[in-house]
Amino acid sequence: MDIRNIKDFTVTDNKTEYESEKECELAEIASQKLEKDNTEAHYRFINIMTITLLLIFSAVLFLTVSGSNIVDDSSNVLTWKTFMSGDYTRSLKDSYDHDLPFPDEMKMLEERLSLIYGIGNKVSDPVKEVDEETDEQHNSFDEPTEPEDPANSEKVVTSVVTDEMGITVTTTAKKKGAKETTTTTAIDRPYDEETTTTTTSASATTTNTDPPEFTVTETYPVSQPGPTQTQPPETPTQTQPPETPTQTEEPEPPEPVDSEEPTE
Amino acid sequence: MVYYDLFFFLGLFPITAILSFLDRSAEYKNLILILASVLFFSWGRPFAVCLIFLSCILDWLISAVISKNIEKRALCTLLLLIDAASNIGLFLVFGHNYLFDDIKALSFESYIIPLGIGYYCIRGFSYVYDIYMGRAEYEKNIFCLLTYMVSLHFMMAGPHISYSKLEPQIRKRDTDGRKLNDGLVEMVLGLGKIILLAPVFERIKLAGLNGREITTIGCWLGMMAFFAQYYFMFTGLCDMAKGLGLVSGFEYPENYTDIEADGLFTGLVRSYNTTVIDFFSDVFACKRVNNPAAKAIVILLCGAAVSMWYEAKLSYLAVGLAAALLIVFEKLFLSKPLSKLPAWLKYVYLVITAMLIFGGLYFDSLYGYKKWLLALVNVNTRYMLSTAVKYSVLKNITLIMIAFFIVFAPAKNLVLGLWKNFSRRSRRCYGITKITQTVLTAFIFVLCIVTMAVQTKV
Repeated sequence: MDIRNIKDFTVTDNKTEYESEKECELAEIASQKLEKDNTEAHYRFINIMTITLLLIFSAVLFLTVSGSNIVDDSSNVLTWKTFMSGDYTRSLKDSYDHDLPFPDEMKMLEERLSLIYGIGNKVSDPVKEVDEETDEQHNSFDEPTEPEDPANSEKVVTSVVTDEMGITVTTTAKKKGAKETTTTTAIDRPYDEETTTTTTSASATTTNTDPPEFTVTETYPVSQPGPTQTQPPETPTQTQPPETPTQTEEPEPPEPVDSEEPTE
Repeated sequence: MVYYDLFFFLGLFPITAILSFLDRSAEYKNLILILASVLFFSWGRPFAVCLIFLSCILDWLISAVISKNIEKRALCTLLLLIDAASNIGLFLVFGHNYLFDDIKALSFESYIIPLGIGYYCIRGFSYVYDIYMGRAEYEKNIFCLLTYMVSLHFMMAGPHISYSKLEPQIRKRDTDGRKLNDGLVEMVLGLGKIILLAPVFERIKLAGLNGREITTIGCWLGMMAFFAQYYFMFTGLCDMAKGLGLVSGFEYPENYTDIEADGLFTGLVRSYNTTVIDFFSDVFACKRVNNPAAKAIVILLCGAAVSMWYEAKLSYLAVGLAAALLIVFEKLFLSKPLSKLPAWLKYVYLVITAMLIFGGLYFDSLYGYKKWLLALVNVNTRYMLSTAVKYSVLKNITLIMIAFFIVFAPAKNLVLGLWKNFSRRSRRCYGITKITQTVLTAFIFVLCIVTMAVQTKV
């Protein structure tokens, strides 16, 4: 009798009777399920271990290794007052952020990793494709409510002149064709009280900031003085243009040697 | 503190997770969770902001009175309104503090204002509302309610889950290998969305929607990038929240769904912050009203409420009402003809309607919106594409492609289907897919940590 033809038989043990075919089927299913579960658990374990170890390693590394040479914990003392005011937790986070390990290496690694993000990324050239003056808060599409900054205006010509005394005169004037003609001048004086400067050429640069219609840059050689001993400026030193005294009359620009009218 | 702070991800989170594994009891886990959440909530802020959590006691007391007088509907309604007013007041003062700039006593420094107060207030009110509606039983143990209210994984981006659904897990839950694995993976993937993808779209948005350099393609790409930036920011936070929940032993649904063409504009709206939209539609009885006119009114009210929940601005209100109006139109007569369209045309419909309606969120005035709309159809623009937009796209093209596969459901399903089919071929194939997943997750983890470290240092 061929054993393959046996389809139904009963296996009896002391306690129960089983229909073997069903039993085999169920056992097979159970065994497959168990194997599947074991395999899943196996790879799950690998995954958990990998991420957990990475997480713990990073956590310990970032906590123990300091990237800063200066460690100042004296100001961060845990007291009832500092904790309740939030100063303690805030300075704890600030010090953690400040002391991140290997800052230069991290930056280098990030630059190299960013090469895979797309085309044209360069190492040691942080991606700055966005106009720096554009920020999240400023919605440049919206109607301007305040008078536009003349330096940012499309119809403005800005000229920067540095004279022999080392004084920088920045002049902004509306371009031809603008409805109103206003001129503002900011004078930026050097910080040092007594400075020796060696200047081979001073220049006046006029830049038309009206992209992309046309851009004209005119450079006028003013003079070629030798080494000079500059005297401290008589006026108080002011570095911020808006805070410097504003001259309403237009400064006399140096005679241009070569000039070009902007053409469209 | 936010989920994507290095200090949280490599500090508070691992410590909390390790501490919560020291004991199996739910009570111990709840205690650790409450303490960690209070620390998370008050980090860098005066500890007094945690007094906000006292509103939980008010919710608890009101719910107790309602449950004991459930048959006195007038009293219950009055108490419900008091609870709603207290939560709305709390939300306005802390969530929309800019409204009180002129009132010195209510105006706070931005660093004091706690995060996630919108979700917190919704949870408080929804608990009382469920008791009022007879869907949940009054919770005698205030610590269980406190766990529901202050858990840090609900704080930042939801989801909003009713107390009755979460209560069994608060009382008894386990953390097994599957939950831990899924939780960690969700956290890493969510972090990847926030740290790697969202900033890419922010750059494109800033380049494309630059008022000094308006170009036609820039306007299209810029606005799409604006949506994508917030989509990845939000879904990343949701993934991290879900991951945190899983590590703590909680299992709950996602707060977002895939954008499917068949859902039309209604489905698109529901796909983002799904649980909150569902909560508002439940409160405004959008599904219970059958009369078409009444339904239209409640949907409009719901749209207005949701938009004001996001931001108390006129532009947001207008966008909310416009979106609600389109939903009403779809429900009344647009859904039938639109459902017959081919899938690709439905996607075109979704893109155009989303651009036109949600584009308004970017602008503070009608002037800017109009200028952008005209630029979309090449009016008042001289150029099609600026170099800034071109380079910001090219320099991030790999990430943009990945983002496309995440957002575009047919592409995502295709890739996932192929991946699953491959893994089912044999045990070896299954192993390959699993190991690849592990390697990719670890790679994303390293990328995120390095990027976060560089950004933090900068």
